[in-house]
Amino acid sequence: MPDSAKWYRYLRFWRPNVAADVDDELAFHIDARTEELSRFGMERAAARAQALREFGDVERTRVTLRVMDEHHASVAQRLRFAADLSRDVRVACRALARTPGFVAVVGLTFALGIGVTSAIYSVVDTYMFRPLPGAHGAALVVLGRTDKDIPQPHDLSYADARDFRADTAVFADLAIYTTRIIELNTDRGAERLWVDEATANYFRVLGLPAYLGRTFLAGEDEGVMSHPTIVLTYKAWKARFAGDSSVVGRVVRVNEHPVTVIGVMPPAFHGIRPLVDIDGVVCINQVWPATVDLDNRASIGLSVFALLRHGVSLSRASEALRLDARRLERAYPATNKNVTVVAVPERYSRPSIAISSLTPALAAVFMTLVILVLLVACANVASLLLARVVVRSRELAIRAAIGASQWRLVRQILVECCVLAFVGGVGAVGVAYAAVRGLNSIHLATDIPMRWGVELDWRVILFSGVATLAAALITGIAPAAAARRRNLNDLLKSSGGNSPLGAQQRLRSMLVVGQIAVSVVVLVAAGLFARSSANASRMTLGFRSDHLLMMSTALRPQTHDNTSGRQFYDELVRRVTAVPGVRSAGIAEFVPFGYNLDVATVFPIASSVNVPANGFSYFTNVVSSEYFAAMGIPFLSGRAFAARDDENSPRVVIVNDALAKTLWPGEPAVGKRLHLDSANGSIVEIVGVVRGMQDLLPGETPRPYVFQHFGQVYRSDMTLLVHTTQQPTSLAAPVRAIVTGLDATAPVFDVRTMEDHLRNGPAFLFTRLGSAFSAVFGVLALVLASIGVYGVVSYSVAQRTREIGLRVALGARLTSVLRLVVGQGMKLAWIGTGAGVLLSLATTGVLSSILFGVAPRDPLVLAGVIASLMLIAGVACLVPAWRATRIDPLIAIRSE
Amino acid sequence: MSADLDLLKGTLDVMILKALSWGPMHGFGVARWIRTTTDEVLQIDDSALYPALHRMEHRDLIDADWALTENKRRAKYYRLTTKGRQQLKVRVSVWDQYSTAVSKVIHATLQPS
Repeated sequence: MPDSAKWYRYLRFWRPNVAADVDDELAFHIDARTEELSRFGMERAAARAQALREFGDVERTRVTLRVMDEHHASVAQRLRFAADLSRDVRVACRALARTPGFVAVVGLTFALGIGVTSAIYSVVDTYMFRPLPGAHGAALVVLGRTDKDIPQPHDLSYADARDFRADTAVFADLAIYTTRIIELNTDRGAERLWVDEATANYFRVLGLPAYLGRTFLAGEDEGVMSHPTIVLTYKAWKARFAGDSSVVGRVVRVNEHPVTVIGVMPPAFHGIRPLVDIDGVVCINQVWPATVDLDNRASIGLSVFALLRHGVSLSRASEALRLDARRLERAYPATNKNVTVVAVPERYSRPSIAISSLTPALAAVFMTLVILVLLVACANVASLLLARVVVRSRELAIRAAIGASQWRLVRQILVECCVLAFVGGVGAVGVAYAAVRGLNSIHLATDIPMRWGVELDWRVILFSGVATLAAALITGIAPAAAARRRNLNDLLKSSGGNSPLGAQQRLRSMLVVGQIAVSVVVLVAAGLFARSSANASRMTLGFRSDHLLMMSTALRPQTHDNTSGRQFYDELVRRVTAVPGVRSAGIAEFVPFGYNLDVATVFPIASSVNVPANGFSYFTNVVSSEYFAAMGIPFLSGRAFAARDDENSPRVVIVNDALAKTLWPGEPAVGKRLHLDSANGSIVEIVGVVRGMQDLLPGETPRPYVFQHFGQVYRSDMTLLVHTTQQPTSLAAPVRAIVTGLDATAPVFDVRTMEDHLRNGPAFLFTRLGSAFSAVFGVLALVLASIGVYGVVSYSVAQRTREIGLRVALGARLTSVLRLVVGQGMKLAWIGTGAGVLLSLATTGVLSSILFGVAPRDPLVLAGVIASLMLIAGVACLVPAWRATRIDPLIAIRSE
Repeated sequence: MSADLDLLKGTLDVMILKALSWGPMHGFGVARWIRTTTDEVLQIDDSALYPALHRMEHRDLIDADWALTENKRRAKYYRLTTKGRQQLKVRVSVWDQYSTAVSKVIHATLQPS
């Protein structure tokens, strides 16, 4: 026998040692046989040799036995573990079934904590983390142009984008697109489709093959209307063509021109923009009328997404883009002065590249709130479980006394936590599902096909699962640690409720203080968001938001030329104004906080300011003379447009005070003239100055703005703005009837009130959602914290029943009992709130970039949070305190 | 060992069960009992005996425990479990039928027709 093997035989004291047992057994056999043979008179060495010979191959047998036994031991151990576990689960279920109230509170805490956090995670996941479909979806970057006039990244010109694409050292491929509306001519009449008009490599850059048919071939974007083809989205294919697969290859009529359907995309594809659900994709300038200006670098309005060459980092790409932009600036100083292009990973460019810098911060804030609420929920459950362990301490002590190992007791508690977490997890999936359904029912005020479908998919379920498990483990630690420290003697000596369990109570108190502190942070964030949202919606925007009905229409170029179109709109305004209940009505090409805008290049004449070579780029709008009255935009000087300002008279414009102050500081702007579009473009005269308004971002300083007259500049797509004396929606039907009465084929869309447009449109939707989400979190944190305070105080009342009973028996007054109990709970509340206030003062600074008109350390919010927490904590203390006052001293003392 | 004894090797399990039916015994005891009972006709290789013992232990036919021998040496004692005892009964009756049948054949006096 090898001696080296002997030491590990001692391992048998802790666990079965297979190898040593096999060695011993075989050694015994050989020794016994040797003994037997020598008893028959054989010489000892010979006897041993004989015994070994009889045995056969000792070493092989040894190996065989070890392998057999080890395999068997591991199988047996697993079986034993499973059996123990299932017994633990059964015991836990039985124990929990005896306390349904406890299970309900814990389950609800888990379900709400995890369910709501999962729902929020779904939103963040759907709009921020989930990459676009297609092989390259996750790797795409989008480009945004920044310049002196619009510092937020925005769309590019086609020519610039094409030049960036030529930098093949940086880009593997780059697609250019814009989103436009086309009309599909069917038997049912014209149907408006939203399509991306793109370079032919659109789907190649995305890495997405067609579901049916094919996508575009290289070169199908060349020429004008030489390849009229369309690729449909799955949604449009189902809705417009009833999912008929023979549609591929069919020629349909788009804007009364033939277009061939070449393919259908898979359901996951909705277009590139995160919120828009397009109907299809066509190639640039291949569908009538061709509108993309391929060569004018001042004509910006094209979005760009690209795939970086393999191994090119974002910072290297940005540097290369900067150099490219400077090169273009030298080559085209008239249009590209101070123009820079930034590259942002597509996932960080949502919902729009213009505010992409805020997106990670917003996502981080929400995820932090999610985690904080989850922590509060965990603290609550831990605290409740701890109380339960303390109550059950005698049972545990007795079980330990009759031989249950500490590990088994700890495991029992952990299993109990897991069972609770499982109950909570199942509830959580239900809550998350309900919350997501609620989120999906949010109405968006637009007829742009919006993709607002939050999906609860496996990632969220996984997140729930991980969160649940983490919660179970976190909440298991405290009670398990408490159970481990049980000292049998102390417990059995102590009589019932009065046991010296200060350590546990201190731990629970710390948990409650911690969760109140976290709740304060969450509530402060919620309060800031709420104030910010209120500010945003109350913000003076510079135009009327009430009693304003909006309705858009688009005259088809094939039925209306400039003259008949202008007649249509003039007649429309005249008839609408005559409707009873209408104060005034005007039309405009763009509405504030809308989806579209246009920029005019302005060269002032006789201005004291230094005019750059490529002029000033300012937002512009084409409006009718009544627009300002209907919108409630006041004139500061000059006059409104008049009927005499027509195509035959000198061109006039109205500007806002921001423009007047910029170009003619200290001088009256009325009567001043400027060149429009280029340094020697048409000369227009300023006839009026209106007050500036907010147009793009809530809270912004009004930007310089140029209004042109519809009487002089024709546009086919206009929005009617009707100022009403009554509820504006009540006039929707008669106004719509007037439009269709004038032209039955004219589409009417985006019928909504200005209030609706602002609240649910792109301007405030995210602020509103943010404040709604954080309000939910705030209430949740408050509820959870109050459960925590209630739990600690009522437990302490239960512990001190005898003491309180004695006090009452000795003549203590009710108020002093109340003060005793409430004081203890409120002390925790004050400490927690103090810590929370310090914590939020230290952390909410990160919110400053996403708040409107409220400082991150807003005293009102802080005071409100403190007050509401104190109120809730007070109520949570009063309930057990009231119960304490009703303690019958006789029963309390006898109850031992 | 000759071929006819190979045939009997499959019966090792039943012999072990039979050996243990007298009471708990260590591996060496089982080997000795088989050897003496068969008058040393069946020389069971000890290296085959132990894997059989362990396999039967894992199948809960026998149970094992460490105990001291009369010479105060630690040895692994095997004993029958209830399942093992039932198994023995079954195997013995199968063996009886089998051996009777074989014996009838080889001692047959009736010529095939």
